[in-house]
Amino acid sequence: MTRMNHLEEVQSMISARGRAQRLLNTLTAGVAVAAVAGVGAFGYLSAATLPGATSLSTSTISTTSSSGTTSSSSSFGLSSSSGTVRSSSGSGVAVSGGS
Amino acid sequence: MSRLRLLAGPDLSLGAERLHAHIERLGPPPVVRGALIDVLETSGLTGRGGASFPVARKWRSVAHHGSGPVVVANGAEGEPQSLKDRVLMSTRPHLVLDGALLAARALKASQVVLYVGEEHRASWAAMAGALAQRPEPELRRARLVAAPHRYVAGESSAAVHLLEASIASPTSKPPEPHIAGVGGAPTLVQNVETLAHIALIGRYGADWFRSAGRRGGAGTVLITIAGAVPSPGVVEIEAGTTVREVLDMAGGSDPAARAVLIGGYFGAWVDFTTAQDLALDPAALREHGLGLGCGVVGVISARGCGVCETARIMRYLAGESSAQCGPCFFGLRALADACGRIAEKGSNADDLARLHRWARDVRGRGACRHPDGAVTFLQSALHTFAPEFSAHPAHWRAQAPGRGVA
Amino acid sequence: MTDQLLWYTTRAAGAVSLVLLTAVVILGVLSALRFKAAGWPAFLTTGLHRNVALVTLVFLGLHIVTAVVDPFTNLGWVSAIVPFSSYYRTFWLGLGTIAAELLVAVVVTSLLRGLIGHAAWRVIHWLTYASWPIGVIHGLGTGTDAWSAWFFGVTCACVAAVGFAVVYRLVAGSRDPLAAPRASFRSEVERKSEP
Repeated sequence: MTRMNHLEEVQSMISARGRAQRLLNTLTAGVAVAAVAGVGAFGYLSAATLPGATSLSTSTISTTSSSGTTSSSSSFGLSSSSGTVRSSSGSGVAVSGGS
Repeated sequence: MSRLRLLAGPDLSLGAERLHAHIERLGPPPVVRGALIDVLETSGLTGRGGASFPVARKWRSVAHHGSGPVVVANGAEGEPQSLKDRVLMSTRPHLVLDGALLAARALKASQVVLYVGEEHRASWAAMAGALAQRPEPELRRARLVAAPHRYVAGESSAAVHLLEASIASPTSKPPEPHIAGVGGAPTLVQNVETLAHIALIGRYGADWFRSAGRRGGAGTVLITIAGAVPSPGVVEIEAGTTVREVLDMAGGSDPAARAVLIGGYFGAWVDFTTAQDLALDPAALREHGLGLGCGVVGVISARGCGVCETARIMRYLAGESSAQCGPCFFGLRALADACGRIAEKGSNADDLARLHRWARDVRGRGACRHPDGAVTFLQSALHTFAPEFSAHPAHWRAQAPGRGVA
Repeated sequence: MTDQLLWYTTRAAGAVSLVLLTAVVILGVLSALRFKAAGWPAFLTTGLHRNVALVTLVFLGLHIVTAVVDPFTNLGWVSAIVPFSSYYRTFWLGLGTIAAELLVAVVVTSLLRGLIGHAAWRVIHWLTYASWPIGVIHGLGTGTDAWSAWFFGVTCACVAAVGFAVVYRLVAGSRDPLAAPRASFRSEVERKSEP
């Protein structure tokens, strides 16, 4: 080990800690940004996999998604104007794809 | 020279003094209550547990910090070389109980606890038996609690911790026991010898207490003499008696004696010649940067080896770490290993430098005072045995770390 | 369109919350292993764990708010607070409420650790081992449409990651070098019954 005097040791410790702290802040910011992007991406995927909408359009026609993603939700709009199935509880809540 | 007060009465070999004999000899416990604190202040009594803290000041602090305090009689005696608490408890248990009773009444305590080392069977039996004989309600309700057989278990905060959290681990984290201890109540942790002195001060007063003592010291002290002396054991001396006088009581000391360990493993080594004229009184010793501690005076002769003894004791102290913090557990281990290397393989400049450097680094960094005590001990050894440390031949055979080595 | 947007957002935020929470759990598990490297001191793992936990709360909040204000779910704020009080998939949604509340309890106690003491904090923090799986089950159970491939895939990846981390932690053991001697000391100084 090279002979560092105490002062240099302490200063290098401080700067190493500062670097690590900055890394922490960068990583945190990165996670936050990735999360926002994730909401966007998952939102898109969620829209794409639900029957009746390939985009967040206000289509009221019940059509299957043409994006080719497999959808495990098999029920199509059963009421006359619904484009998406929101509730399967059958309580008769009117869901409308239209605005 | 020996002024028997605590140890006065029937021969010690007869075992625990029974209550009726105790009352016949000394009278019933006095009725003093709150005024006792002033009497203790005048007497100048200091604690005999190791810190030599003024008793009256501690009591006032406990009284100040709340009501219903807890009184803990500390008879753990974790210091391996010390025998005085065991001797006192196993022969004069009622002195200790009187002292605890007076403390409980003066401070209006809610509870009395007797904290006795689990391995001190004779003391345990004596205290349990004595407790059963007592009619006073404060003592009827007293609890007898086993102190685990570890060096640090006798420390005040460890005692409180055991009563509170069932684990006797020490700490220097606030709050201190006298502010908030058992059950959050202010707790008085007092050594059993101190309580025994209080039992007599309560009967005879402060002036009587101060009538014994030399060279400015007050009262009597129990000293354990250990090591290279013909008759090691416990003696009661006047405070201020010199080391030379005390060693004479143990049959004189080896003319080739090299050094004296004052205060046990938590104390310090002193060169024999210098030690001779030291007065065994807390204030006098403090002027030399030393402490009376638990009153152990251990002699090592030139036939013994200061380096090897230091290495052995360092290894013990390192093994007794509570492993609550890195600086103590790893620091003391590193120091003990370096000491052991010097003892086993002979002096070398690197290990010596390490000892000095790491001792400085460890001090003050622990979660409790254990590493500080060990480091003080080590630094006194490096100073007192300087010639031996720098020219030690390889002659020590390392033993497995033991516990309770006297 | 807004209601669809809210719906997609709530699902997306829920998925993101799951991924973030998974990261938090894994970072927590790794913290116990005291990982250290050049340029990555031990406090980084714990610091990241804490920061990502707070980010998780933000997106969890987004998930809950968008679900509740969505006019078509008619969930109402009560169901976000009182478990099993919603009309919609009562049980599965209730699980979500429970998982969220456990998480909030853990974060609040962590922030107030100085007040409640270390022992209490530790006990409550273990509730995270309940919060995460309950969250996973909530995610899979709330709505048949939750079994879409992307979400299922994400869930599987998260479960696998946590499973791996936990197994690794159990196998590697605590890297705290004081753990063994401390345990040995404590076993010796524990209060025994009077002899």
